[in-house]
Amino acid sequence: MDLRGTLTGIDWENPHAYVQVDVKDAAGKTATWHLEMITPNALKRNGTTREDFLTNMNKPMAARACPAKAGDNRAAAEYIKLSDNVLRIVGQLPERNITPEKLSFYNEDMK
Amino acid sequence: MTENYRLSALRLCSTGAVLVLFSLLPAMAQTSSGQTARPKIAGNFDQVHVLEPGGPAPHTEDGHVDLTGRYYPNHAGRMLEGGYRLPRAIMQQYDPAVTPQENPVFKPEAIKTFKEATPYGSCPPGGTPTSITTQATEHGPMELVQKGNVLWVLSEFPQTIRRIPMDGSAHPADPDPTFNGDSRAHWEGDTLVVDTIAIDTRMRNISVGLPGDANAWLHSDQEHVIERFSRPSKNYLTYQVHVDDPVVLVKPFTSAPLTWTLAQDPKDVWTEYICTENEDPATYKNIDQKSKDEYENSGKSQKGAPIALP
Repeated sequence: MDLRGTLTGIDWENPHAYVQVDVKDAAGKTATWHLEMITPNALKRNGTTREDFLTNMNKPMAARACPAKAGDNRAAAEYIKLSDNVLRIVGQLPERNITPEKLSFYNEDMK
Repeated sequence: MTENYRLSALRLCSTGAVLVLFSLLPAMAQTSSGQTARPKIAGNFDQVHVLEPGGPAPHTEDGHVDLTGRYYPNHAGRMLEGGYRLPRAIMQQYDPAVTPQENPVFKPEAIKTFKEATPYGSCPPGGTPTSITTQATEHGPMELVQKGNVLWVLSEFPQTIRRIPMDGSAHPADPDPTFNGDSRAHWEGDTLVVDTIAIDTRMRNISVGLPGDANAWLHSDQEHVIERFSRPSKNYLTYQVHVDDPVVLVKPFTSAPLTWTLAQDPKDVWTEYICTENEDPATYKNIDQKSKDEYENSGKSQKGAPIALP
């Protein structure tokens, strides 16, 4: 699924980091999503740091994620794009055919 | 601080159980409709390539190959997230067409007791050789420090320190079982051969044969592990593991020669990766019942009793 909303939180911890995004529906109601990412060590070595989330906090972001079967607004993040417009691979990509250029927000300006 | 949710989402997706696609559009008051040029991709994944050999391997003053270095389990000389679709030539540690690898062959009577997947959410030590072989799916680094007659083998996850004498000493007559076992090393030409026994039987062999936790298997107290380390060039390390266990296997298992490459980024960091921060009551409350059952029954037989090992 594609999510677009506002970055509102980051849990930078082992074994997996979590990003929180507030998403408004068509009626204007806000839902908070918790997106599970991979480990901080892999995120850091692949160009995504805790500081990246802090400097883009409370700004627009987009995510491609796989929703949890249990619901509860949880999902496994695959790609995210924060307001710095850097495309970040932050998950295990269970959707094997989703390459970066296929993302709905690939060229989207998040600023 | 956000409310803590642990364990479940990544597992569900990683098993491919959920492929529901939908969009919450048009929801996004904060999102601009503007377009940008081709975006920068964090980590420069679009520039990853097969690493060049880098010249001859370094040697120590005593004339042996120096294995010292931090290595990653791929051909890129850097950590690669497993999910990103890179060419096989970069990602894989061996080419099955060139160096085929047989899977372990289990004795029929051993399958029920010894073939046991790692329960999701448990964080056991790695043990030998799993602290190295599990990087086939964990993608983390292995650091070797060769100093005098000792080789230190460090794994970031599961966080592991192995101190391996290279002084020609023999195994103790009756070594205490430990997670990493008792290892002794000697040189055969430019290959360091590490011989290990007395590995705690609670340790699973992960990615010893088929990759991943789902294919993990336990072993008996008769397991004997032989690892071979060589450095064919400055940037490349070759690791091969041989596992013999007459209680569990029909015949010994020998892996293909597995490629590791030297970390190229001088800013590459060694991090603390201990898989315990999710073990809190609030987390456990949110785990589905099936996962709770798996966790509670880890290390037990299907009847709930501890596994009786030979």
